[in-house]
Amino acid sequence: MSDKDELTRREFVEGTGVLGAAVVIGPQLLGRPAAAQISATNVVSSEADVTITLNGQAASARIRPNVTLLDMLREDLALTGTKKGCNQGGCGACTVWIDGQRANACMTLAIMQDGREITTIEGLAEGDDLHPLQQAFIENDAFQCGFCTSGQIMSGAKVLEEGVPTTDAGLTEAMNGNICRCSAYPQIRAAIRDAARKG
Amino acid sequence: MTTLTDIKTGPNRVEGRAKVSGGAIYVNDTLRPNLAHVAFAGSAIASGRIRAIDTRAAEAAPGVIAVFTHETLPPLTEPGGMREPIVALHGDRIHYADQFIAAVVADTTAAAEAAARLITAEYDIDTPIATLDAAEATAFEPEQWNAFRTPTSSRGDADGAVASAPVQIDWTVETAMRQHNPIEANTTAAEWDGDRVTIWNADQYIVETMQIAARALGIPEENVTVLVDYVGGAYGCKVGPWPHTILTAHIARLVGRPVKMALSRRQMYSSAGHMPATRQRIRIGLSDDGRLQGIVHESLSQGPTHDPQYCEWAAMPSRYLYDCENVRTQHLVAPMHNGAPTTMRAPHEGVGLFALDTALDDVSYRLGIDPVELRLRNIPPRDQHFDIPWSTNAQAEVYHAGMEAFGWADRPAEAGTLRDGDELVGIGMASALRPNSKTNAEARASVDAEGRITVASATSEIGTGTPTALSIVAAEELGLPIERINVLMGDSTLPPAPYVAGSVTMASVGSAVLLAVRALKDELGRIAVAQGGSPLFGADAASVTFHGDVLIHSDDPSRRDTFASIAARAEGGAIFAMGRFAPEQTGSNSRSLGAQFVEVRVDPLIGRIRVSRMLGVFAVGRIISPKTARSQATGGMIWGIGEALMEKTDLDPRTARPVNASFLDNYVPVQGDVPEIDVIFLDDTDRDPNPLGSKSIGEVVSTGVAPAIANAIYHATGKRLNKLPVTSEMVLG
Repeated sequence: MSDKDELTRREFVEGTGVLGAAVVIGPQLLGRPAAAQISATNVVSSEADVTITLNGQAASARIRPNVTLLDMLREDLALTGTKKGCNQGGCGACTVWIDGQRANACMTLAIMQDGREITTIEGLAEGDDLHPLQQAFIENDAFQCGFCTSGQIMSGAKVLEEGVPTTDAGLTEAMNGNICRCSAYPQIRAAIRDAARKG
Repeated sequence: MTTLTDIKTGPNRVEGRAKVSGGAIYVNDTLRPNLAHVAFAGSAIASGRIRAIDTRAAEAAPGVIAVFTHETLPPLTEPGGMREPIVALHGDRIHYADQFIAAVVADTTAAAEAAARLITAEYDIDTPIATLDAAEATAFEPEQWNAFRTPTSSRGDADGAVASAPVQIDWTVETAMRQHNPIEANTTAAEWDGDRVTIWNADQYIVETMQIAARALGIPEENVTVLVDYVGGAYGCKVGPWPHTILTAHIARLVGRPVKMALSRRQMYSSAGHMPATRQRIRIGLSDDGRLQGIVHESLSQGPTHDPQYCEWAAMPSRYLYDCENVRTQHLVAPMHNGAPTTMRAPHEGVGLFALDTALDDVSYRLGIDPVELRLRNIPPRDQHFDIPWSTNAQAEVYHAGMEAFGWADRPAEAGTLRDGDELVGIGMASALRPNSKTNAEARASVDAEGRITVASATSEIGTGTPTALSIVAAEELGLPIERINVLMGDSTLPPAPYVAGSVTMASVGSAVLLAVRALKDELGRIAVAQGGSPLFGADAASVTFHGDVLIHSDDPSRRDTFASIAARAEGGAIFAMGRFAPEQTGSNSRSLGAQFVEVRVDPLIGRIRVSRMLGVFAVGRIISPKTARSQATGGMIWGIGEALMEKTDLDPRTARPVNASFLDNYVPVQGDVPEIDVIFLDDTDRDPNPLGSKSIGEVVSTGVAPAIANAIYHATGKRLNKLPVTSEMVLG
């Protein structure tokens, strides 16, 4: 993991920060040439080996340090059930569990996950037996297009374990981070309550 | 009357298991050998020219395969017919902020996105037109779309009738620029095989994408296949190809390998359409007893400077919602420096009802007539715009059902009188309206030697439940469980289907499927009696009756045959039949109608507005799939909450750049914004020829919510608000 060790968080943040500014404002508008781009290029050119426990099995990939956990799951490990909605932590479509805690995979760098346990929607059912919340989503029509559904279920299944009250107020507070643009919100609440009763 | 309070009524979605287990494949899940990834760099300015562009750093970045700019990309043939013409990467002219100025191809998504950020450009900057005020001076009258969507209309003497009416209101409202913001950004993948291309596109109209791609890429239509298993939300922003669709296919050919591209969330604010802002002035004259004497409804909607085709037809509801012999409407488009607008749930009527139904609400207080009673006094006896009869009109029933179910009788007439602790409580309503639309569609039905029954049409599943509803249509006609029906969609080589938009799919594709299944039964009977090996051989086809997938001779029940056996004996081991639906002109008209009833709670100290109760009553034809129809309704009503209280794309008035282009800054409804919702579907079978009797649902359910909420806020606070979205500062104090 020497590549990872050489990259300090500060250097990385500075690099991406400058790049972010370049696209939002554009150095040309500020009347000066683009700065720090060469060092930023160096930052993303190194690669690192990352090994995780993915849905109970070891998985590894050699990746550049600017790759998110989301992109690693989808592109390097070919598990596409976790969706990319906004890529900036605003929608919750990419919700996975990291060491048993729900997290937005798009806001998490893959190189920081070495040795961790990751659970995705593909790891929720036990063989052919759906998780009770997956079954409740089907029965309560708690999705329409289905694109946010992996994130809703990974979030909701954890809410069931977190002991959140299944009142409207409790569920809305706990599920506010998962946007459903088709707006199946009442059905999602009903599904979580159903699963809570049966679980 | 069907009250669907129970979420679980009706069959589950047939694709449910795939969607809850991560197995449903969306375009961005496309994995191909040697796949490369495309990211577009966007313009920092909204109007001007690219003077110089520097791609050296991007080209040197890790994983980068190629970089294209307007100077290096071989130009495409402008195909015409697109909602946004292909101006990006074609010439140095910039028409809107974030217009693509370069395309980066790299080995991973992260590498493509990182390298795209390294592209820099110098510009000659023009001052952009960034507000409706600035654009109004160059407003123009748009071209008409069809017999109904016309820029102007006039019946009777509207201006004279308003001026001489004893009660008058002159009311101007503004509605915001909004984004569709599906959670799945618009996404395309493309792969060439010689001079044939497969395009995977998140798409509401794959047939049109196939046709336009063929024109732009210079190849025959039969060389283009457009595929999409599932679309991750659309709401209007995925109807056919956008420039990124065609450019992605073009780039795949240039780099000689399959490529994939997803717009960034920011690019969803410039490069895949938006609902344009409108400013509407409505003048209404009424008699003392609340009967409409005249309506003049004028609308100005935001357009782009580079493409004049889209208009938000906001004055439409004044033409055909209420009884009024004197109506004049006018639409103008005000060009601004933004990407092309497009239809967004719910267009036209959805926007125009905010003007019409808040004005009527205001008048009702002045007249001392209950708002629902005022509407009941103005139900049109016929379609006055086209001067033809209604085929069905359940408008009065809609209002009565809503009043009863919502407890309207307990509502105090006076505004500002209901209070619960620190919160002011208000109850309001408004009408919901969209045309009842259907159009040409084709479908194929087949059965194979294993008895598998398949219906197929080139429509796509955007979340509205089409595979489920088509399964129900076929299963009911055959008397079989829906599990026996296999639905094929999302492939442009299937029988052609229309756009999955404008609420046309059920009546159009559903009817085509029904006709195809009926034709399949006819075919099976005809073939069986002519098959040497069939127990029905030699029988009169008219004496064969169907019991599920078994054919039985009505005079001799021992003579029977099955779909599977008949198909097994047939050449090729399968039997096919086509269904073609084309709506007839009937000389009558009908609408998709409804009414929205809402209760709001306003905390005037902190300006918090909450919707605490909602009821939607809809007369939308026969309900085919209760569970998915109900979800359409609740989802659409929640969209109305977003329209009323949250959604607005803010353009910087100096630069015309969106300043809130993310879910972090531009809010859409989340769990905490949404109360429990009740839905009532009235019995309203479409009597115009349509074998299903269904009507348009998907959009009407979203209309009327914003005016109902604004009317409820007035009832709570006494503040009459004329801007969408309504925000906290408007109700403070």
